[in-house]
Amino acid sequence: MFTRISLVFMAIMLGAWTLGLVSMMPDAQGAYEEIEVTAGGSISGVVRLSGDVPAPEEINVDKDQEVCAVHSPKYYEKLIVDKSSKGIKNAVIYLQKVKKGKKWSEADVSDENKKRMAEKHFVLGQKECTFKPHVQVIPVGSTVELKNGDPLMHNLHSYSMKNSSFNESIPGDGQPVEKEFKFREVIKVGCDVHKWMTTWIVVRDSPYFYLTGTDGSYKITGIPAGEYKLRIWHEAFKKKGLKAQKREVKVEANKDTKADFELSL
Amino acid sequence: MPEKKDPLEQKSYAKLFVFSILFLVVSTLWAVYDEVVSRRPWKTYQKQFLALADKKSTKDLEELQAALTGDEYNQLNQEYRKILKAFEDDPERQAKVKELQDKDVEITGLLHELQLHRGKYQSIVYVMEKLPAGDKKDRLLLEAQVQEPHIERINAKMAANQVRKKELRKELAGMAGEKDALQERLQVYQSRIANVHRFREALKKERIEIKQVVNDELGIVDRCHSCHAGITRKGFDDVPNPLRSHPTVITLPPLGPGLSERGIMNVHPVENFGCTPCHRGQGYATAVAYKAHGELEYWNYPMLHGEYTQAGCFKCHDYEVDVPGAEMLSLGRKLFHEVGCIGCHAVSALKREDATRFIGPRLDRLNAKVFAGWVDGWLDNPREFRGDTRMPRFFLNEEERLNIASYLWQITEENPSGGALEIDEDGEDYEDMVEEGLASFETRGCLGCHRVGDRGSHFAPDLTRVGEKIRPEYAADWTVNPKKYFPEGRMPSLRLDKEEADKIAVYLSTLKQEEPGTEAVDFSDPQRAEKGFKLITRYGCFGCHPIKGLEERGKVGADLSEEGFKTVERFDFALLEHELLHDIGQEYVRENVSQSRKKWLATKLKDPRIFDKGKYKNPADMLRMPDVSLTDKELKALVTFMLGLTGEKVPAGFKRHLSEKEKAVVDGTFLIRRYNCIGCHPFTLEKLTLEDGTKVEGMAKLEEDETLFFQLWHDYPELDKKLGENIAIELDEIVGRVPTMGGEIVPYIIEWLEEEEDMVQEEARIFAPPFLYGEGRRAQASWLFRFVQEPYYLRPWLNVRMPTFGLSKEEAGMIAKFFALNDDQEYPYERLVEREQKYVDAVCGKDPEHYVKARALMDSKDVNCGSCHVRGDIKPEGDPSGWAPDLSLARIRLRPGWIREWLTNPQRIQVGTKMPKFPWGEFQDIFPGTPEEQVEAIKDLIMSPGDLLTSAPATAEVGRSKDGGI
Repeated sequence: MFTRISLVFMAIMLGAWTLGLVSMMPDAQGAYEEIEVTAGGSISGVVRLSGDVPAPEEINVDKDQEVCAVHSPKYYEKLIVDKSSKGIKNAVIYLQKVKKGKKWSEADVSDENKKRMAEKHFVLGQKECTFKPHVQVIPVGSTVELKNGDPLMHNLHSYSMKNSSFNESIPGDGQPVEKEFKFREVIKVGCDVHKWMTTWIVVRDSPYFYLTGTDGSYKITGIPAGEYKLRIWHEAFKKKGLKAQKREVKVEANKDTKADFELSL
Repeated sequence: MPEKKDPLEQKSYAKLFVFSILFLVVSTLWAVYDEVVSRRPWKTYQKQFLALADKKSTKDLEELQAALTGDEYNQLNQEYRKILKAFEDDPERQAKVKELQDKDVEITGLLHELQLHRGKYQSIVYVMEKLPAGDKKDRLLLEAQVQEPHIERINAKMAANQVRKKELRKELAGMAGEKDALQERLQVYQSRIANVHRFREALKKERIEIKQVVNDELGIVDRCHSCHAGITRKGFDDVPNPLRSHPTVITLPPLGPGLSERGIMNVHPVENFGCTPCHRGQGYATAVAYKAHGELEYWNYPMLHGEYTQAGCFKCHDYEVDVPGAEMLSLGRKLFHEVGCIGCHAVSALKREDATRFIGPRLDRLNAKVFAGWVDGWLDNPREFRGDTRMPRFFLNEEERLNIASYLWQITEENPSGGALEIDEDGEDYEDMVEEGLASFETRGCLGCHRVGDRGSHFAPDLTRVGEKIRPEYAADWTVNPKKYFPEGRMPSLRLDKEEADKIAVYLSTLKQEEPGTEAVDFSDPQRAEKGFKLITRYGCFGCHPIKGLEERGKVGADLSEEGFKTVERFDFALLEHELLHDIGQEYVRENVSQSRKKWLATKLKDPRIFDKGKYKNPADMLRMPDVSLTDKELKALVTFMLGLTGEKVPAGFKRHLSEKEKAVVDGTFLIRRYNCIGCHPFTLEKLTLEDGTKVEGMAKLEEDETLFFQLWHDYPELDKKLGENIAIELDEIVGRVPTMGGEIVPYIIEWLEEEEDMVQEEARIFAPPFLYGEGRRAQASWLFRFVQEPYYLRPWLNVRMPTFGLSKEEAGMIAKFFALNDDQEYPYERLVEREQKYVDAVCGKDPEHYVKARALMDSKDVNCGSCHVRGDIKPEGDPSGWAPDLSLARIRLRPGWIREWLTNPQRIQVGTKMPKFPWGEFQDIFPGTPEEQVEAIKDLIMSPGDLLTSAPATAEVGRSKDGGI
C-alpha cells in the first residue's frame, strides 16, 4: 500500500518529470546522433520546372528608394529558374526522420557553411533592403544573428508556429540581435517596413539536405545504406504539389542513387 | 372422590399470561431497539466518521511533524536564521531602533513639559478672567501670553517627532520585509500542525447526536449532515458516501496568499444555506436514506441527482447566463432561448431572453424573397433542406402547407428592392462576377456567421443550398442593407456598395444542388389564406417570426415558470403511463416523483406528439408542439433547466448578488453572443492545465505528432519562459483545456489567404479580425460606445469588415461597460488629462520643446511612425494593405496608459503584432532623455489636443495650439 509520503514523493517526481519534459522537448526533437559514416551512399539529381519559365517579377520599390533602389530594377527571388536547363534555385531536398548519420560539419554545403553548421551559428543579413541569403538551412538548436547592413531601420518579423516568433526592429546602425531556433520548421521572415523583403530559414534535424544552386542540381552524400524518405521544399510551390513529390529511396553503400524532381506551378 | 372444582377458576391462564408478558417485554425491547438503534442510522455513520477522522488526522500529524525535520524546512529555517541575524545585526537598523526609542523618550519629556506649561497657562487665564479690568488683570494677561509661544514651540516639536517616528516605523518595516516573508513561510508549517491539532480537539468534543441547520427565512430544518458526517470538512474526498467531503464543483481563487483554493461550500456555507435549498429532499427526515432524500410517495420535491442537481442553482442564479459549475443548466437555458422554446412558452425569470425571442426572419415579404417552389418542402420538413436549421418540424399535411403559404404569400408587400438583378449565365462577365462574389464572401467576414459546405459557422443559416431558395435580386438588396427588410433582425449591414452586393448575390445563386423549383404554384386563393391564418394562430408561428399584425399575439404554449415543481399528476402520460414508467422501473407515478417528472419531460422533448398515440381527439385538441430534434445532451440540458424552473421566491439575502463588474460581464456576454461578436473576434486566451498542476495562458499554434506548440502570453519564471515564447507540450500532459472564446472565422480567413495570396499561416493571422483580449485597457469606453453603433474604417489592411449592427444606445452602452469593467477600467466618466490644454501648458512650462522634440522623434528615420501609420490626411507610401491605424484617431480612441505600454513593447500586449518594438533610449541626438521620457513624449503628442500631431513640424509655438478643446 502507498503511504501518503510516497504518494507525495511520486507526485513531486511526476511534476519534476513533466517540467523536465517541457524544457527537454527541444532537445528531444533534435535528438540526432553524429556517427562516423564509412562507405556511405549518395542521392543525386536535378530539380527542374516543367512547363514555361515565367518572367522574373520586378519589385516595385515604393519606399526608401535612396537606399533600397540603388541597383534597379530589383526582382523577386521567389522563383529563379535557369532558362536553358530549367533547373530551380533555392529548393531544399532532404531526408526525413534520420536519427543518426554523418556530422553536421559534413553537410553538403560550402566550406564556410560547414563551419557554421558545426558551430550552429548563422547570419541573416540585410543589404539594400534585400535579405542575404534568401534561403538558408540551419540545424535545430542554431542561433541566427540578425544583422542590418543598411542605414535605415528594418523590422524583422518571423512567421513561425513551433519556434517562438519574433518581431524586432533593428536600426540602421544598431546592434545585431540573436535568435535561437529550437524546433524543426520552415520559417518565413519578412520586414514589416519593406513589404517585398522575405527570407526563409529552414530548420532541419539532420545534415542530410541540399540547397540547390542556379542549375537546380543536388547531391546528398555520406548516407548509411538503407531506405530513406526523400522530400523536397520550395517556397514557390504549393504544399500539396510538393507532398505529391515525396518518395522512398533505397541507398546502397558507395553507390549513387538518382532521383530527379519535376515541379510544376 | 373427585375434587370439587372452584367455580371461579376452572382453567389455568398461567401459560397465556407468561406468554403475553414475554410478548410485551420482547415487543417493548424491540420497540426500544428500533427507536434507539435501527431508526437512527446516523449514529453508526457518525461513529464511523469519527474513527476515520481520527485515523486520518493522526497520519497527517505524523507527516507534518516529519516535514519539520525535512530538508526543505531546514533549509528555509537556516536561511531565516541567517537573515534574522543579519537583520538584527544591521547597524543601520539598530540606529533606527535606537532613534525610535529616543524619540519616544523625547516625546514623553515634551509631553510632561507641555502639561506643565499648559497647566500654568490655564490657571493664570482662569484667575485673570475672574478679575475686573485693571493693572493686575493686564499683568496676568501678559504672563499668560508669555506662556503661549512655549506651548506652540513644544507642540511643533512634538509634531515633528511624530512625523519622524512614522517615517522610522515605515523604514523599519521595509527592512523587515524579507525576514517577515520567510517567517511567514516557516509559520505555514506550524499553522498546518496547529490546524490538525485544532481539528483533533474538535473531534474530541464531537457528540453523537442529531445535527441540524434551522433557517426560518428559507423555511428549512436540514439534518442531512447527521448522516453525511464529513460533508462540511475538507480532505475526505476518497471515502464512500455518506462520509465524504462535499465536492469542490467550482474552484475560486484563495482569499489570500498561502491559503487554499475555495470551492462551492465556501460561498454557500452550510450554516446559512443548509442542504435542501439546493439539493431538495426531505431535510428533517433521519430514519432512512430514501425518506431523507424525499424519494417517497408524498414528497413533491425529491432530491436531484448527478448533473440534474444543477437545476437547483437556477432559483438564485437566474440573472447569470453562465452559472459556474452548472454547465448543463446554462446550456439548457441557452437552448431554451436559441431553439425557440421561449417563442411559445412563457418563463417569468427569462426577461432578457423573452425580449429577444424572435429567432426566425420576418415573414412579411416571402413572395419577394423565395422561390415559390421551395416553400412546400420547407414547411414539410425544414431539416431536410438544411440540417442545422432551428425551424422545427410541425408535421403539416399538404393541405395545411398550401394554406399557410397562401396566407404568407398574400400578405407580401411590393418588393422594395425595386430594381431587378439580371443574371446572364452565358454572359461575358458571369464567371468573373461569381469569382469576385466568392472572394467578397470569403474575405468580408460572412463565414463568421454563415456556412457553405464544411466551412464557416452555424450561427446563421447554412448557405450551402441558398441558391435553391432565395431570389438573387432579393439577396443583393438584402446584403446591401438587411435592416431595411428586418430592422429587429441580427444580420448586420456590411456597408457594401450595390456592385459588390450584386456579385455576392450572383455567387450565392450558384450555391445549389438542384435548380430552384420554378413550376407555377398557386398561392392566390383567399379562402386558403383564411384557413392559413387560423393555422398560423394555432401553431403560433409568430412566437419566432415577426409577422405583420401578429407581433403582439400571446404565446400558444403552456407557461413553464413553475414546471420544475408541477405536481406529477398534472403531467399527462395519456395511454403511455405504464409503458414509460416500466422503463424507469416504477409501477405508479408517485413511486419516485422526480424520476417520473424527468421521464415525462424527456419523452415529450424527444417526441412532442407522442402522448396523442392511441387517443381519440378532436383535431383542434391534438398536440401541436413541433419536433425540435435535439441531441441527447441538449435534451438532458433542457430537462435540467426545466427542473430548475420552480417559481420559488428566494429571500433577497440568499439570491446571487452580482457586483457591478459581474453584472456588466453577464450583460455583455449575453450581447456579444447574441450579435455573434465571437464569430469573428477572439476574446480570451486559451488556458491549459498541465499534469503537474502548472497553469498557462496563451495561444495554441500547432498540433503535430501528439505535441502542442503553445505560445505563452504571460511570463512564467517557473518554466523559465517569457511572454511570447513557445513551449512544446505532449498532448497527454494536458489535463485541462479551456479554448479561446470566439474567433471562429480566423482559420477560414487564414486558409483563404494561404491559398489565394500565398501567405504562410502566421502571416495571414493579422488579416483576421482583431483579438479583443484586453480591449477595455486599450480603448476608451466612450469611443467604444460610439464605434459599436457606427463602425468605420479603422484598420487599413483588413478586408474583413466590422459590420453595423444597428445597436441601440442601451446595447452599445452595455458593450462599452462590459469591456471597461472586465478590464477594471473607469466607467462611464474618465478624465484623460493628456487631452487638455492645461496639461500641454504645464508640460511646455517645463520644457517648451517637449512636443516639438516628440514630433521630431516620431518623424526620425529609424522611428518614422508615418511610414506605416495614417495621420489624418497624411497617408503613408505604398499599398494600403501595409498601412497601420490612423494616429489622429488615437486621442479619442486609446487610453494613454495603454499607448505608453504599447510603445514600450507592443509584443507584450499583442504577441505577433506588426508594430515593431523600438530601441527607445537610442536617438539621443533627436530626443535626449531616458527611454521612458521618449515614450512619454510620443504618448503626449498622440493624445494632445488640437492639431499638434497632424500639423507640419513647426516651432516651439506648437505647444500653444489655438484649439484648446477636447
